[in-house]
Amino acid sequence: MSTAEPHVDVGALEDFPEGSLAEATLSRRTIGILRRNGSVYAFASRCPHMGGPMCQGRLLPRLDGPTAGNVARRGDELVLACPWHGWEFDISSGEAIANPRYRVRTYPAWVQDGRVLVDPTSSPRAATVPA
Amino acid sequence: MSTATVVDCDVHHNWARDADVLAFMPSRWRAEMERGLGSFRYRNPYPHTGGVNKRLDSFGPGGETPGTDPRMLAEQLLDPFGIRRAILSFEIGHEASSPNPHLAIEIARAANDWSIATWLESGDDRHYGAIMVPAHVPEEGAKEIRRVGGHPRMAEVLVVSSGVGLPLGHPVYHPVYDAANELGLPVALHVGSEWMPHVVAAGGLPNSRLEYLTIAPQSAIHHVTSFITHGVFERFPRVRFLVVEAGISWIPWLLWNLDAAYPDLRRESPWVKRLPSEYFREHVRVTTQPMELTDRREHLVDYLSMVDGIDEILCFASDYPHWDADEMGFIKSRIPREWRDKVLCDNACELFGWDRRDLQPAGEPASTTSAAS
Repeated sequence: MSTAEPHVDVGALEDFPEGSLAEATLSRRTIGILRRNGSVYAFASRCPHMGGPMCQGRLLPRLDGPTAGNVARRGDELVLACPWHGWEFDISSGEAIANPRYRVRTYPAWVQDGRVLVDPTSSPRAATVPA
Repeated sequence: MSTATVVDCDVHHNWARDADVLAFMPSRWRAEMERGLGSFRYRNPYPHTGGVNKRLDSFGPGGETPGTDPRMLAEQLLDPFGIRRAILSFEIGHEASSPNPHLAIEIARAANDWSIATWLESGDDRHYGAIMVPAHVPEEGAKEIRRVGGHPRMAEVLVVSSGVGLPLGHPVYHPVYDAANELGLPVALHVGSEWMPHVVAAGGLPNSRLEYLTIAPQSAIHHVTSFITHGVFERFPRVRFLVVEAGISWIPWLLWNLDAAYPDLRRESPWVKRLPSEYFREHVRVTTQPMELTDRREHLVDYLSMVDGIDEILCFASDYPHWDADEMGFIKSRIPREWRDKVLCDNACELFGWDRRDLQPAGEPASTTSAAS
């Protein structure tokens, strides 16, 4: 990614602590920024279920159930859990773990010259629960 | 005689005298049963309008207990409605729900042997059996499944509800499903087979038969849910679950509720890897009786049709000779014509692993279920 792509500067990298969620503004919308393992992830702060504020969600280890009654972490993968009903989402694709039909809207994000840049234009519209 | 091809997933055969089944019991237990130590059946406290839980026209000419005479079964049920295979499930299986686990397993063994000798090997090739299994002794139940499950006429495992007061998906029962999975046998649950009726009711002891009958599906709903939430179908992928005599109108409600709750709570049970409704469609079948009587047929059909594939989930059952049995004409009038072949025959054949062509008696032309009069 480069400054030739459409982008919005949402802040200095040091404003987004490693491994935690932080809010930013993208074209007057609140988005969430997650910085982790050398990458940055940007997502809309709106859960596709009922609109919960994803920026106030929790980062949790991703869990699998290899056999009934047994729980295992999937490597060091994290999920983003909505603060309202606990729906869990893949931090990269935004897909709901329980039902990939639903997605938190995500945006391409990258770091350049110490700044976090987000492309507000290229993410497909997320599927939400029908009204 | 009807030319249709129908499978009846719930027919209740019975022994004329307790001595008939006691003959298959080890002498120690037979002697105690003869002395009155144990009882085959509890007395359900809720009265029937006819004074007995049987159709009043199903008694033998000499007053014989309904379901004890294969000829009457053929005359009243199998012949007129083209039933090519009938799953014989005792008096719903609560014979094996005795709180005494040691007696329960002996009753189950004797009943299974009696059923094989008296009905399954009687010469009428329409008789198929259910392996009575007391779920509250799961290890013994598993042994029993493996003991008789290989009989060519044994079609399913019949678990008795709430054996130890836990929903049937709980790991304590998994030895039963392990055995069923090994043999590729469906597991059936007949509502009402609990020793005491109050366990069906979330609100306490039902106060009348109207109350009891109306809310009886509660326990089945819980058991189906627990199968999914405990990952039974993940652990035992060959197991299919047949819910018997719980009606059908709860199906959309349950699937909506399960699928709505699952994303919220997947973290609690991550071994549930798919939407609950997907497990249901693949692993659960539901008998049609008692089919709810709505003011208009369309009310029930349109509501059920909100569930994709509902026509492949339902399996016909009469519940003969019980008082609340569904009559074939009633069922056919309430379901769409395009559902008939599936509901009346094909879904059961798929569940039990039968080839529909094998149900046709030799020499008779092939027929569709819909062709039945």
